[in-house]
Amino acid sequence: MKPRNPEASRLEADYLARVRSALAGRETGEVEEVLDAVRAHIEEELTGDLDGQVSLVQMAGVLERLGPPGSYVDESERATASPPPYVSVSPPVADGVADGELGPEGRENMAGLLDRVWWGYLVAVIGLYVPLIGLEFCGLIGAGILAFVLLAHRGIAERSFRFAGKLAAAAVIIGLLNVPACVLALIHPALGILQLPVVIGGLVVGLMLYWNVLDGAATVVSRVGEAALADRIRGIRVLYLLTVAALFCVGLLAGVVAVASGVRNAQLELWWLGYVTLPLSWLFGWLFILRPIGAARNALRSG
Amino acid sequence: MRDAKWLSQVKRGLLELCILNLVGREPMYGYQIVKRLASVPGLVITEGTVYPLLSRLKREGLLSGRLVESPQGPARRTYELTGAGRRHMRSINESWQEIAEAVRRFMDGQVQEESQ
Repeated sequence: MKPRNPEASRLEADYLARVRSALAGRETGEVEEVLDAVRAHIEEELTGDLDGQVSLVQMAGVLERLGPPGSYVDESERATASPPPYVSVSPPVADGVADGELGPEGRENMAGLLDRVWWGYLVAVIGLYVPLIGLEFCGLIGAGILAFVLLAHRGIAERSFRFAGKLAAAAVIIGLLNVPACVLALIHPALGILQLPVVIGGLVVGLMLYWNVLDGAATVVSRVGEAALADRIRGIRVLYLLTVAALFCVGLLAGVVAVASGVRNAQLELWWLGYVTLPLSWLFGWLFILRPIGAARNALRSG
Repeated sequence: MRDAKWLSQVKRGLLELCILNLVGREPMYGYQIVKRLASVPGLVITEGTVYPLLSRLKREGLLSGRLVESPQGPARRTYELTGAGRRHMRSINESWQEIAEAVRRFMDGQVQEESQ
């Protein structure tokens, strides 16, 4: 500790005593923590100064920058007071959705959005794949609904939802691209390689879409005080990603084995596999997509 | 006077946002946080007000703090974001961007034009 002259010591002690009395009523641990921090701050400030004793002027300069002891109270009181002004000042935005605290109208608007997203996903997970031309009919319709709904959204979690809308539109385009890629593979099996970027692109975009939709849903429910549900939704999406990654690896392995076993056009010969695994994709769709979105919607309507 | 009061309220509200974003990048000790905030020209802060705020964020579980010995004086309390703090930071960052965008629309006169 740097030595102070008597006046500087008295000034410092007086300042700390006034901070302590300003914080009276707070928990002892909290007061001590703040005082320790202020002591450390003063010491750090004086470290760079010249050798010798700290003068009254030097100490006064440090304490002036720290601010009056009363300012500590203002900040401390905010812990129990109303939310900070920038949150309570709610700029009106489109769709009647106000930021910060959601009123009944805002909650219903957001619940309505999640409702439409839920239906979009429901259509998408039904699964109606036409293997001959590589058309995922329900997936295309579902992604189209999601793009339409999400791109029109304004208000809370706008960034996540609108980005998800762009991804849904990209998913529609990728789904359509799969048709010519599949037809080309039919004409010449070697051209089946063209499907690889389309399939991988579709998977990546689909996962990003899912991630952002659930992020938006979690943000919305956290705004209505459902922090636990928001955490659960975020946990579910991580679990889903891990599950998809594991299944993708299994699928890739199966493909390699099929090709190695001499299957000429694995997609055509194994088309029935898609229908065998359909119940599994329904189960996953329900567990990882529809259920969390539905829970977020219900939380908004039950408040 | 009115301007100063309004500005003070806005800055106070944003201080939490700035602190979470600062600490979100790397663990920092209190003095470092204060100095980093004080170095930003538009964000004129009263240095002492940061410490009760750090204490509150820690109590609310948004920051964790541990004491680290310092060769220059008293032990320093180093703060870092907890998982809850990181989620809260993302949430309020998004809120702030939405608010800033909405205010920008007002200031640019877009809201009047859209409603006509």
